[in-house]
This record gives sequence, C-alpha cells and structure tokens, in this order.
Amino acid sequence: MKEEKYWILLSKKIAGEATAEELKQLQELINNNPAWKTIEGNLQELWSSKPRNTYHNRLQKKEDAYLLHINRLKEKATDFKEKNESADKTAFDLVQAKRPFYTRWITYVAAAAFIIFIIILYPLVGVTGKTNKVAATGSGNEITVNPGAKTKLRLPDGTHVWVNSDSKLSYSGTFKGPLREVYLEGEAYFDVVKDPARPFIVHTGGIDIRVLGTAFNVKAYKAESTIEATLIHGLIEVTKPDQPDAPKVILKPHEKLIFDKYAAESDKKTDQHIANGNFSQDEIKKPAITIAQIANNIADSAIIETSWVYNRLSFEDDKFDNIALKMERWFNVKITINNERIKSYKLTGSFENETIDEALKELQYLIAFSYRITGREIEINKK
Amino acid sequence: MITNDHIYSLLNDIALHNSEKAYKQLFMEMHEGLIDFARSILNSSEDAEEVVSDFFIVIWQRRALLKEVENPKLYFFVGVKNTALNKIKSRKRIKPQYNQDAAWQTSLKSVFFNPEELMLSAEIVKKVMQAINELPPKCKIIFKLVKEEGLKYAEVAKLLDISVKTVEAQMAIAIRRIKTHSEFKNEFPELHSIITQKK
Repeated sequence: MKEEKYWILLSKKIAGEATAEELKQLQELINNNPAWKTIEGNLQELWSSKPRNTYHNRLQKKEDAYLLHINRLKEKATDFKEKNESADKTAFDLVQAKRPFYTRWITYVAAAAFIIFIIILYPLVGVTGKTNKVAATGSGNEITVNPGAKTKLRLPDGTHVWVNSDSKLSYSGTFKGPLREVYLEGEAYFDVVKDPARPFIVHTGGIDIRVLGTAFNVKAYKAESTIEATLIHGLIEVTKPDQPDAPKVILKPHEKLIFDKYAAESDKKTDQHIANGNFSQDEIKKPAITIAQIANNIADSAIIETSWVYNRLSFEDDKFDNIALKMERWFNVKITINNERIKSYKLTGSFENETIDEALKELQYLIAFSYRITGREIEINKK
Repeated sequence: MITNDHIYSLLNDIALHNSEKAYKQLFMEMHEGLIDFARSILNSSEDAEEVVSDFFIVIWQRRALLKEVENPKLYFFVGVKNTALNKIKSRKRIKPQYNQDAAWQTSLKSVFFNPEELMLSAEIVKKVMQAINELPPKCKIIFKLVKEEGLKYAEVAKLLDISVKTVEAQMAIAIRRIKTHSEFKNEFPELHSIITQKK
C-alpha cells in the first residue's frame, strides 16, 4: 500500500502537480524507506527532456498539412478576407461539415495564389501551340541522360531536378517567362522552388503537371503503358482538360497517380459506345486514373518510387520482366527473357552497388534461371 | 510545447486583427498533438486530420469569440473531442473510443527523450520509449497529454471525463514503468552483477 502511495506522490512531484503537503508526505515516505531515495534521480531528467528543434524537424510535414487545411477552408467558402461574423454564445457548439471531406473528386475554383492542376492530354503527336504556353525556342537547354547514367541539375529558378537513366529534359534558355516549363521524356524527380507567381509545368507528351512548390517524381517513359506521378511533399491537383466539368483530384503527399494511356483511349471508345446506345452490362471500364497510397511512415529515401534518386534500384512485388526493364536502364544493357513463365514471377528487393553480374546472381536466389552475358546483351533462360 | 499564454496572445491577434499569420502559427503549433488525440478516439488518421481541420475552420469562422476563451489549450482539446464524437455519431459505424490499436503507435514517436542530454545510454532511452509505447491505451493517452501537451491533471480529467484520482493512478503506473525500464541493472543484469560484485 505504502509503495503505491509513494509512486503516486513521486509522479505528481515529477509532473509538477504535487502540493506542498504532498511533497512533505513524499519526503516522509522516503525517510522511512531509504531504499527509495535514489529512485527519483533520472526520472526528473527524463521528464524534462525535450527533443531539440522538434518544430523544425517536422516543419515540412506541418507546412504540407497547413496547405491542405487552407485548401479545405477556402473550399468551405470562407475566405480570409471576410469580416468577422457575429458570434454565438456557445463556442463549443460546432458546426457540422456539410459535405463529406476527401471525396476523391472535388470541384475547386482556382483562387489567386494556389493554382495547381495537371492537364491530361490523350496521347498527342507533339505539343500543340496554345497561346498561353511559351513555345520552346531554338535557344533551349537540353539534357540527355544515357541508359546506365543519372544526373542532377539545378534550373535557373533554383529548382533541383534529378534525371534518371535513358531520359531527356529540356527547357527554354532563360526560364524567365510567366511560366516555368520543362519537357520530360523518361523519369525525373523534381524539388520545385515555391513561386506562386510563376507556375511550374512539366510536359511529358501525355500528361502536363502544373505545380507551385513541391517535391514529386514523374515517370513517363514512351515504352511504358502508364505515366506515374508520385507526390512526396506539397500538393498537386489534377483535372481533365477535355472534360472541364469533371471533378478534380487532389493528390496528397505520399500518394501516387497512375495514368493508363491505353485505358484512357478505350475509355473514349466506351463512352462513345454508350452514347451510341449500344453497350452491354458486362462492359467493365478500366479506370484511366488510379490513385495509390505509398507508405507514409518511412523515410523519403526508402520510398520505392524515388529510391533511384538515392542511388538505389528498388522494386516491390514487381514482375520479373518489369524488373528487367528497370535493370536495362539502370545498367545500360539489353535483357531478353526466353521463358514466359518466369517473366511474371514477382519479386521484392533492391540493388545499390552491385554490378550487373552480381545483381543477376542475387536474383538467382529467387528464381531458377541461367544467364549469359555477351557484351551489353543478356540472355535469360529457365533452368 | 506551446504555453497557454502564447496561445492566448495568438488568439487575440486572430480575434482582433484577423491575423492570418497568427492563425497559421497556431495551427503549426497545435495541430499535431490534436491529431494524435483525435486519432485515439477515431482510430483513423484520415478522420483525425479531417476533424482537426474542421475544428480549425470553425475557429476561424468564430474568431471574434476567441479572446473570451479562458483555458485555450484545454478548449482546443475539448473542441476536437466534441467534433470527433459528433463525427462518430453521424457515421454510426466507428466503434469504441480510446481504441487500443495501431492508431497510437505511430504517433508515439513524439513522446521523445533526447539521449544526448541525458546521462543514460541511447539503448536505455530506447527501452524507455518502448515501455511507454506498450502502456495500456488509456494510460498512454493520459501520459502523453500531461508530458507532451502540458495539460494539468485536472484538465486531463475534465477532457477525458474521468476522475483526477484516476489520472493520478495512471500517471503513477506510467512513471513506474519508465523507472523500471531505465535501470541499468534491469536491462543488463549479468553485467550489473559483475560490476557491483564485491571482491
């Protein structure tokens, strides 16, 4: 019994809740039980220990959260410029939100400072000359990254871009116009400097991504059937330009948008089909756009979609032939898999400093195959 | 951890001058703790974020009232709690309060002990943090509200609708658990006996 009382009093003392009377009682207990005298020592220290700079540690995350919150606040039609409303008596009487939040499709009227949207174009032959776009002039800058290489560069506005293997990034010479535009073929990771007055646009010949200040990865290889945009920090908004009345999507940090180039095409056909009055109940539409969640509580460098920025090639539950495709770019080789079965085996893993030979040997632990390397060509056969 | 006085002056700024800057500062200081708390009621991060955001929206809409708030910090927590409970009522499918699940585990990294300042090894500090993490849910919430958010026992009691005695008892449990896990001799008994063995 005494011991319980002791702990209650001691914890009150440490938490700063003990009255003078209680402190006295505590002291008495300790005097009668000398064994308890030394307990207090570290506890007080532990209690008052505070992390250094916590505020700054999670500043980025808080900024993101605030951005999201302001977006919501504006959407609820309450502007910062409104005058004070007259008050009700009970401050605790909270108004219920009228519409469910985070419905995936939200209509949003662009306000001055926070304009962010992605224009999705069905596969075009080239960039069309719209009046509000800055035409790429002859005095452009172009960076070509060969297979097997990676590079990092800094754009004139301070934005950092990591460009992955087998990719090409270009922008007009001065980068000083009302819009900051780049053209990307392949894969790049952008850490965009905030500039509300000058939206940053990434043209990929399939999707245009318009952002303000944010960090995100874009994967738009011609040879692949999807275009992916993964958001790490900040906020991205997506609209369909050919359906301006369609609701918009908001990407939150750690979400990934996958645009299926071919489903988009067939979507069009299906819509037309239905419009013509002939459709079957079984016609299942594959969505052109899917939003996926990527893990929230892991370090940025461990996120699969952007691990290449940190010099790691990662894959998770990926099919062997997809992995081979990634390896082709990473190591600058050509891989042919001569067996349909093993092409669809799924693997999880990562390569950091391995040579192509070492990487293949590691994969052999997972799948029974044999390989032959001739120059830059690799042939894989089932064992 | 932000003090009541600081919050009070921010609220004043917001109420009297419509200060967006103060509003943002308030958000940045308070929203994490509030989300953790909301999560313990709602068992969903997304819901928790929504609820806190909703509450902050109302804060803005009713900013004229703000300077009359007596205990700002407690006001925020109670406000979030009410918003969360309202949400449960309107949803009718989320289950009991103070859910014991993963909801609390990710947030507990904010209950932090800085090994560099302490005389204890990083190992032991880690054990202490684990110990706190493994506290029963109610105990953990109470501990967090007192240590991290700086609420007084009486305020916690009011917020969670329990008696002050319960708060006292739960805090005692938590502190004792920290104690046992911070002892060198409990963590490395063989080593300890070798060192303290009298020749």
